[in-house]
Amino acid sequence: MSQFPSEVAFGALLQYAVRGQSPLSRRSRDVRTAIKTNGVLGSVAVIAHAAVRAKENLEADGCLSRLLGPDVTLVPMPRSSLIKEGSLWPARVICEALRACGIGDEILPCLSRAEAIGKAAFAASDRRPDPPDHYRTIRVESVRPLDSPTALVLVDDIVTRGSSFVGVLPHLTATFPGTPIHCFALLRTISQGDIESILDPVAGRITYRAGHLHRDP
Amino acid sequence: MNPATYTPDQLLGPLNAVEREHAPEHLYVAGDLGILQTGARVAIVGARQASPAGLARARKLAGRLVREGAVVVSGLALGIDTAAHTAAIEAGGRTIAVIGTPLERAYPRQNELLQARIAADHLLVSQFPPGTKTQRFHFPHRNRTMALISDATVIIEAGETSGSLSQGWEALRLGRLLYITHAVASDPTLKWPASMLDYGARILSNDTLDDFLEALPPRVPDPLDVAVPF
Repeated sequence: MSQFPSEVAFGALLQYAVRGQSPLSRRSRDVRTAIKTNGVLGSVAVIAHAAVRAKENLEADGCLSRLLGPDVTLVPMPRSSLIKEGSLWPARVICEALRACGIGDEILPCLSRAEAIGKAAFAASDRRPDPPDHYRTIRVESVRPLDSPTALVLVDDIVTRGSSFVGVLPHLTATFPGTPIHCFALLRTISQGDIESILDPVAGRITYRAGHLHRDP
Repeated sequence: MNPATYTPDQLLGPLNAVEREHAPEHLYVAGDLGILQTGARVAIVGARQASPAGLARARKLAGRLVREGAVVVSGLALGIDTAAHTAAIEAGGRTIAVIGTPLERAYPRQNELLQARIAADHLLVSQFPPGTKTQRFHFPHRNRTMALISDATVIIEAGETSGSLSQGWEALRLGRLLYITHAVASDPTLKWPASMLDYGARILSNDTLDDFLEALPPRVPDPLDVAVPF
């Protein structure tokens, strides 16, 4: 059994209300859908627009500058399902959009899903995949050594409890020993109530102790 | 009929790189283009020789989607497609038919009147220019285009060689919602449902219907009056 980290630093740019019924909460779910499908709202490509917002946060020395920067290596998180060549991979699209804005100097798609796993957002809280589920179903593709000890940033579209981040990190730490690794998601879920804004950059922590995950904020 | 020619981007908005991969160069349309802006577009597809239970499921789902403000998309084939279109119309909703022939040709002949009604009052779409001789492979290409036009696809009933499967795989490739009915998913004689579930399809049942409806994107005017609210 791999040693899972008890604490993981993570950042997120946007938030969406899973069940909130205010107009903004409902709209936040449109943003979620557009990100999951690399779609547009109006005629604006949402992921590219979000990447610009992330860049603005870095330029203002905002909280995301603790995790992201021009010289990090971006690693897209595999989808929860299997994926065929040529299919949409939202996390990879996010990495490409970030890099196009000058965030990250390299994209390293070195992780793949060997076995489909249930989607956290669609599972009851007691049936969501846990970190060992993620660890067991992830494979590391052959990778070349990194040119320099830059930080790695594991990039996902949505973070719910952070199970996938915690479950996948041991693969990266084993493959790139000594390299700092951070986690970033474009969206974080707000499971209860409404939200006041969709743009809400945060840098926080995911803790994993005694089998329990906690994301803060 | 008032046929017109558009690029997919003109009709559907800017396509991303994955969408562009199998998108046709042009779409030939007849009917009310405003339907494209009136609600989430959900394709209901399945077997031509469908079971009574499958036909009933298609009709029931189409009626529910109409009540939710969604647009029912299908391919004007016999069986599930016909049930979906007619149920949507009977429920007072809107429907889009994506056909594998040019607009001026009806296939099958039995649906000629239904096709004419959709072209007049709803929306009829083809990727094949007028005069194109219909070939067998046009129908799976039509299914890929239907996946592109639709925000979600539901496969009601389909065998291992059904053309609906090409639509299901394309929906998954595009990252769109793909649902398969519980009855199909639990049929031990079928292999394709398990494979599609591994690649991201979900099961549609009474328990998951609300989640499915909730996940559909809106196409109503933005209540916040801004395109991207962040």
